[in-house]
Amino acid sequence: MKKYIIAILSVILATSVYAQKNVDVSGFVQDGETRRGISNVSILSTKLGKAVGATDKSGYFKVSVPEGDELEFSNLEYNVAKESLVGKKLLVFTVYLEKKQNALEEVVVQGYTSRTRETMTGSSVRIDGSQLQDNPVSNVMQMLQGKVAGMNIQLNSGQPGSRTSVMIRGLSNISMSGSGVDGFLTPTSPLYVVDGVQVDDNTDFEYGFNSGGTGISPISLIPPEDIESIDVLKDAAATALYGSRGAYGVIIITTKRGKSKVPIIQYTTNQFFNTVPNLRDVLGGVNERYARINQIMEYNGDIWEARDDIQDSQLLSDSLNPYFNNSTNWQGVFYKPTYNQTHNINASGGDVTFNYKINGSYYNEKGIIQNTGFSRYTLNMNSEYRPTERFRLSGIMSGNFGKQKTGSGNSVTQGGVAAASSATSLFPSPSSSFVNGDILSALTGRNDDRTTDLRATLDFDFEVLKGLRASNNFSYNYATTRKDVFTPAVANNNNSKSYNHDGQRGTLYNLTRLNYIKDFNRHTVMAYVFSELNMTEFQAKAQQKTGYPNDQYEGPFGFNGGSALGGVLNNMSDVRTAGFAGALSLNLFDKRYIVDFNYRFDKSSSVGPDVPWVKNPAIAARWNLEKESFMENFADNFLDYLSLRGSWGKNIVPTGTVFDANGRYIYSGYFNNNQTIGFSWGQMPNTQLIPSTTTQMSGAVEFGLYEGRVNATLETYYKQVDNMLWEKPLANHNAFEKIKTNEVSMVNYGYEFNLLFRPLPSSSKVSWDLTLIGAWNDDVLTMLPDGNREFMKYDDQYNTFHTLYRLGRNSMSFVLFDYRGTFATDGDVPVNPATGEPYKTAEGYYFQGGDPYWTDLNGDYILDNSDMVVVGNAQPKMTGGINTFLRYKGISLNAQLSYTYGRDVINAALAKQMESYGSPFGRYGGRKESTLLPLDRYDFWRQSGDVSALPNPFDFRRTAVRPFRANQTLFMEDGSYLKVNYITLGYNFPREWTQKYSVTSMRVYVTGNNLYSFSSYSGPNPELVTSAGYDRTDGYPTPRSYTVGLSVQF
Amino acid sequence: MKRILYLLLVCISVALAYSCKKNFPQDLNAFSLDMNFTQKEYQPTLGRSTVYQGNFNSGESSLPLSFRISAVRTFDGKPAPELLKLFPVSIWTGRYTGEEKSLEEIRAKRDTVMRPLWEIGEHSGTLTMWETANSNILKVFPDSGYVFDVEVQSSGGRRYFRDLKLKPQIEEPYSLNGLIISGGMLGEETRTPLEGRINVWFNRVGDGSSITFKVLRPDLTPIPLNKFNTTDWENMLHGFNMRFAPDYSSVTYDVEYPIPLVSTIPTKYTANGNAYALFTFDRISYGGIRSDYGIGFPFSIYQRGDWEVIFYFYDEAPLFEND
Repeated sequence: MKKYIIAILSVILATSVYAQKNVDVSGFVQDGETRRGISNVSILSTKLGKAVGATDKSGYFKVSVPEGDELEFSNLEYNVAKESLVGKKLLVFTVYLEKKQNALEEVVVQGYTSRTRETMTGSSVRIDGSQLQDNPVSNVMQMLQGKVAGMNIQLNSGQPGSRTSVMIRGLSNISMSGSGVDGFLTPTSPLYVVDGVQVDDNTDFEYGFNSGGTGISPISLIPPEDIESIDVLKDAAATALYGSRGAYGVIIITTKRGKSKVPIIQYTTNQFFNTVPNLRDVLGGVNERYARINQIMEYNGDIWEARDDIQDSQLLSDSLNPYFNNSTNWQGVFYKPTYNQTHNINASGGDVTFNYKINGSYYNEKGIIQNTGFSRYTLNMNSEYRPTERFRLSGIMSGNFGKQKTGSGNSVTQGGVAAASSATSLFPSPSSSFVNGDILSALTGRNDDRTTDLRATLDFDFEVLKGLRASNNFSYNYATTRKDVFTPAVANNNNSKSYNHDGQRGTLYNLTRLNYIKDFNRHTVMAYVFSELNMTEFQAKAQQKTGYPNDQYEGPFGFNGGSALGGVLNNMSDVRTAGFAGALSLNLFDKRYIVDFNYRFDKSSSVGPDVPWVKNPAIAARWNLEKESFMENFADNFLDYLSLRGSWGKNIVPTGTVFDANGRYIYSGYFNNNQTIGFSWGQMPNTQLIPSTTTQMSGAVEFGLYEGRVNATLETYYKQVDNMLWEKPLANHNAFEKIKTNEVSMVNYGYEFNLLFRPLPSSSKVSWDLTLIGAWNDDVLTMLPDGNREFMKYDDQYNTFHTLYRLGRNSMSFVLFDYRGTFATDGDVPVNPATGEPYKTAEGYYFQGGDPYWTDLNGDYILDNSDMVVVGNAQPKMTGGINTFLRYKGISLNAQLSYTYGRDVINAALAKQMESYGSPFGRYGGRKESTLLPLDRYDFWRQSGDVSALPNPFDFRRTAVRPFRANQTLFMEDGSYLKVNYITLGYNFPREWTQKYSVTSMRVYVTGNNLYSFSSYSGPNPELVTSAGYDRTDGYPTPRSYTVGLSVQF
Repeated sequence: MKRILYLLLVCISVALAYSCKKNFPQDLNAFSLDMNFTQKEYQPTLGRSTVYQGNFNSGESSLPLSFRISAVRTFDGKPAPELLKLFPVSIWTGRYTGEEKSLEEIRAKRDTVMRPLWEIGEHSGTLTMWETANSNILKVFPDSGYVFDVEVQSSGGRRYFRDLKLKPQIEEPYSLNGLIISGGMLGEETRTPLEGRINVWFNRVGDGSSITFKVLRPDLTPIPLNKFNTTDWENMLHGFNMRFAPDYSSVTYDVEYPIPLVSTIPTKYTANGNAYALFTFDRISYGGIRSDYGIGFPFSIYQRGDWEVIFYFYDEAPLFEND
């Protein structure tokens, strides 16, 4: 390339020597925002009327032009800049180019094709990869929180490497797995398409609270540094061509490609420090001992008995024994700040005919809970080869390895630490020789998850005839997950224990497509048909052994055969899906009107055998009003663009399994002294099982004003989810116990806005971008099985958190006892006039002064399940974010905030803490559930006549009334919050300085992540709740982290 | 122009959203077809308050529901105004603890209101037969009694449960639930255990509100009560103004009825839902051993009045003398 430039230059020089005196001009062309050099900027001389040169990889140029010339610097991605040489004495200068800011010219991906925003008919949002840098996160979706209107992201767990909850346009499935506080909303993450490979974040591993598998999200294996862009496709028209699995939305992640003719090597490192956020308050040491003793003296009936009981409790009376004479901060033992780092190196280069990229990344984050953490090693490469315009071949190889340590918990919760850190502070810390099992297993056990993920894609297309292209995309994704848990003998009653889980998933995907484009002067017609095939195989095995000879020798397996458990798990699957689709896109009158039609047929092995191919049509249109003649007036003055678009379409997602549709054979015991396999009578096969269907309508107006200073998208949508999977019990005179059907429907509707302001004029030296994003969502349950209007799913396990489904209402309501206050005296308790009995619990305990007063809804003077009221909504009404980006020369300041409004949270953790006074002698010998909450901030009932906000926590002989049961309105709180996600301060060194060290650009930055949440919630973090809205005691707190980062490009 | 256009757009989108919402099911109370009375025939004993709870299964209905007794008639279809008329019934307004120090204190916790005798809880569906009901007012077994319908409704629907049966049983003003003679009490003549050789008589002698205890020998002469020398007379039952006859032939208390006042609230006067009176004495038996003897008397009296309870040792009187 250089050779050519020199050649051209010399020709120019030679010709211009005759004309007039030439001067040498040199300098740099840099991005006005990032201050990085821009390569391949062509430099045009206006006097000569032709290109005189281009910049090299560092943005450096040197050209020879006539005196007094005017130079034009142009590049596709940037606005043209002009620089006049008239009056310039120094002919060495730096030119700053501004990125094109017209949102319409952005390129987005929809339905396997890239198109400009101007011709886009569906609803989608592109997030540029540059917005995902500067902040090391284990899962890149954390960075998208508050950036896409209508995409609700909640960080339910601070566990590094875990999945974040992602919902596009509200709930898509209302079924819960697990019971009560363990209830877990069926995950409905969007379909991820990573460099053309479909990645399912919902099924690869287990998410529940008692999950057997690993907890590493496949999205956590993608290094954010390697991401070029993320496209979020929201409505049915945008996702139409991903139809067979696109009903929950589609997120397309594209990694970086080689673009520069000269190879570029970029190195990025983040050094970050995770700190422990606010934890729960506890009483310690002598305060705890006196609180317990006073409580016993006061409430244990008579003083002599109380003294006896205290004497009998060694924990309380033996205060001179060093084992019981401590003030240990257990949370401090388990929660510690950590120092972590990431490294990423990216080499890329090439041009249109051939380009390549290799990205290697290392990420290591030690969790703030001891013995937890996440590390990621990835190597990702791609290359593209295009010898002629007619043929293109590209290949992508990506190998990712993730390792997660989850301590004594799982990927979601930290039950072991929660138990152990709730030990009484009177116990000695584990550094001493006195330890107990829970603490040991949290600190010394092994609980490693490993995921290896290999992806390969081969993609080629060939132009058969003019306008007709044939293409094929083939990808294979192989992932293995392993979980390896070991509990040493000393932590498990002298019986060492191990659990291994091993899963393999292979996904083969092939898409063959014929694509035809025809230009008719002002109109363009594009049509394509394709067929796709998806084959997925999954099998997991698990084994559990106890009783090893010792902790070092994990074998032999036959040592205690009776307690060995293992085998293939019942969640194995073997899925085939196939689809055929056609699309027609009309682009009329110079992109004034755009109409898209899509139609696809789908079949999946997880639907019933009697179900035909599912047809999914979609239609979408767009009207670019600014191109109309009647709008010319506005278009000339202030209007950049104004367009209307609307869409209607259907999508499906297969929800059941092959077993739901066809039944299952299981081991059924002995017959004639032989082990036999028989039919499982647990669940009746449903041969009519169909996939869940989403029908979406959306309409939007988009406009830009004052040359990019205001860009806005306002959108409304209606999303109807039908045929949701539902498990129905069968009457007990049937052979089968239950059946799965598709009889539940719900609707989400709402409004989204995305506003971008640039308050300062483009001439200002300071540039400021302000983005406001929000989405209002309402959901309504519209159908239940068997024509029922209402269905209460009882919490069979704990009889605490029931779930009520009711037509016409939001789908996630709480069912709670209505707390009205506290009985000031015994006489305040209502008396049943017929029997003379006071108001009592279902178990028969009469209420008295200091007890909570829960509304007796049906007036029978008995508090039972029929007195529960339906209140609240666990799903947020409104979510969104605010982003501000300030830049002055090389300095930039970027802040991201996100908010969630109008959701209710049950503070079950506070309930549990208040309950801690229910056993002054310490539960489990003080080993767990024995921390005491400092009560000075709360208004408790203390003596007869007190009118107080909270019931009496001290009367431990009346705990059967359960005054602090979590399922009451007392503990329902507003879970709205405004969170400061991150603030980044960055500095780009001027090229003049870095050039000396042959560095083309260098950038340093500091970032604070998860800095603060504004909220009226009384617990530590309103975001750290389960998807069903319960704040558990054993959640993994989200750390606050501080990062220093460096990015160097050679 | 642009503003107008924009307004128009907003209007269209709102209208669109509204028209979609129009077809949503309303948030109505569910009214399940599975709801039912689990008890269809009620046989309350008259003269005492009887409450039937947990007699209705609401299925998957939204709670609370509203209940109403809609048509009461006799078994052969004739009107039964006696079940619709209001009668004065005694209700509790305060909490009975068993610690009350006077009759007035107890009376302050009770009140008399006008109620129909057979009543259904407005939202709970519990059925109550008030204690005022007696066999003079209502037909009692062996008459086939009454038939009534219950209307159950909520904003989700309305349903009638027809032909539920009410068969009142004639009053039992008192009940004796086993008598315990403890300590191996001996007869004074044969010196054999008295176990089982005793009768108890309940006599309603007036319309006041008191209870009197007497113990009789086989010849119907009273045994002086001071022979029961270890008896805790003050806490015999929840009564007041305890007074012995001058010859100790009887002891009388002023009480409130029924006895016990609230059978389900355990107090020091009750055992297993009954009042529990205990008459005890001791004597020195063979070998100089002091032995304790007692008559334990679990009972209930539902009808107000001056009751006289007589323990009659029809065979022989107990032996009180020391050996």
